[in-house]
Amino acid sequence: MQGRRWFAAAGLFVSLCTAKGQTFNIYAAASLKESIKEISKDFEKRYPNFHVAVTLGGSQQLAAQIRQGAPADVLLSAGMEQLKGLPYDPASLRIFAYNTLAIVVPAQSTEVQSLQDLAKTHLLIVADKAVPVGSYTLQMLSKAERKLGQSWRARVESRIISREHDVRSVLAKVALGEADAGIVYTTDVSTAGQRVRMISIPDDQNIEAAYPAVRFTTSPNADLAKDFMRFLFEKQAQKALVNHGFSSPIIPGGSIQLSDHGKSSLLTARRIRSLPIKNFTANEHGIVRSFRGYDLGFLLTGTEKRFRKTMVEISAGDGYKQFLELQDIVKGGGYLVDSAHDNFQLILPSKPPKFWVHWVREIVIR
Amino acid sequence: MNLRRGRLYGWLAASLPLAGFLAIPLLALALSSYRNRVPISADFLQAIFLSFKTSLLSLAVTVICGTPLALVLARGRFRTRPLLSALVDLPIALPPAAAGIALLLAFGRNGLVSTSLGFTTGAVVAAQTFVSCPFFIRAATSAFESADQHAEESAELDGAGPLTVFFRILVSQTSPQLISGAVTSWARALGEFGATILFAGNLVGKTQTMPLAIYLGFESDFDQAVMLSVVLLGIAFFTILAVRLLTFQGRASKIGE
Repeated sequence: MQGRRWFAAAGLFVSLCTAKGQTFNIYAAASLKESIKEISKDFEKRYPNFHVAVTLGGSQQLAAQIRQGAPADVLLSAGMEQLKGLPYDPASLRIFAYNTLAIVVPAQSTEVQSLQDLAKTHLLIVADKAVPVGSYTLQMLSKAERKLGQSWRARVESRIISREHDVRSVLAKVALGEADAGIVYTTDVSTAGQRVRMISIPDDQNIEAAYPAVRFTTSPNADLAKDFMRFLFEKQAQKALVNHGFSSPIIPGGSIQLSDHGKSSLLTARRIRSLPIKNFTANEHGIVRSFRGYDLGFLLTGTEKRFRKTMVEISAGDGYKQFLELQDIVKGGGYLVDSAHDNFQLILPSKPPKFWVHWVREIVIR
Repeated sequence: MNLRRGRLYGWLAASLPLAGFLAIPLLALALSSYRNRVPISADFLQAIFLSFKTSLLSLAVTVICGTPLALVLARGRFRTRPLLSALVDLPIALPPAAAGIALLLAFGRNGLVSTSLGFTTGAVVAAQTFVSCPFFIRAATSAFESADQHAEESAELDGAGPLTVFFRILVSQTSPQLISGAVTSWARALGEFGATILFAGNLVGKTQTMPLAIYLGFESDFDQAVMLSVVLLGIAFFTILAVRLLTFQGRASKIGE
């Protein structure tokens, strides 16, 4: 009797485990560990029939695995370089977060107080140049070299005792007190708790690490992958990233840079909201929806008469670029519609949604 | 007893699956390196050189310090002997990464015995010795245990000193097993990865051995990583083969006497 009950329990357990049909595979850079945990949990709530699995590692390591056939549906990389040669859909590439570098030192250490002091250390740990954070470190050192001099750079290089294979092992060795200093992402520092102290790197010498997300053409869950790419830019996901110290490409939103044949000006949210407001309808994937937006065409009308075939390049916060003819905006209508965090989406009622642009940051007329 | 010819074929058929399982990945490596031939880069040449230097140094440490330990384990009669014997076996069971963390906590800057060994070539040798010495000590212990003690006793009666007895009789009598143990231990040191990357870090020319270069190469320069794997494989294969042939011959000639 007892044995049979156990058997039934085991059977139930197995069926519970396999009930969640398919697996959705997210490959994410090691530095995203904490935030991707939250994001994937929220995403799983939306698709309870799927099991969302997250594989973490150095971006270069994940890329190598995918190149050898690992079943990734999406990849969230810490660098662009690592995407080379991967079977991703180039149209899906979006920048979903930004990061910066910082120096970490053991909590009780007082030797290093600034970037300049790196030359004073004896044991400095960085990441290998194959790792995104390692190549960002080199860029940062080159930038700082212009200010602090070649001999400073040479001294810093001579203090490097190890080039680690991912950013978290740099942090771990500093936290153990085995190195005098390490260079990691700003977002990593808090994960080591009280054991390390952060020394900021000044903005003009720091770099901006852009994190691209891509979807694979080989993915068996193409629709889900598309939806995940959208989900990454929803409020919840972007908030999770910001809460862990990343900069969001869409929070805060705000101004749009407008450049008209080299003459540039700033369109603040206030200025945009002072444009004529119009109600219009547009066909979004077969459904006619009504919108309310600010007339961008009105603003650009002055330029239209001068050139008939003028091109407009529109850039978004997530790195997306769209090329349009000025005519499309002025004649067919182009409206900036309010979205979260003072962002604006450009909607063109005369064109299908793939021409519309979320989180507009820059409009260049040439 | 040797297998009879008829039976040999049966057993051979049964051993094919595992033999094939071992051979196919190696064949794949060799084929891939042949198809995508690339010259080995300067960094990787340094890794080859460093691997030889450190693995031979760790072999020297293992043989010099491991032989007395093996003799004690084989011939000593004291209560804590099983404990000592288990201690020697422990690194075989310990995951190399755990060994690396243990070495950092023991001999790191803030370690139990604070040293400045961490992240130096010395740390590589220490990591390799830690994980590879049990293989030699095991082989030497069982060799000393099975050695014929009568010859030693007769030599002692004839007035030979303890060192003479040890080298001229015991070591020369057991040399095939000692050499075989040393080679196994050296091969383990040559392939050491986990403890090295944690305790010694990764710096070209200083602590980046072949396994570390291969691991990082898999991510950044795949063809180079394959080439280097084949180099490592080739060297290990021919060394082990040569030693096995030598020791087999030794055994065969002994039987013939």
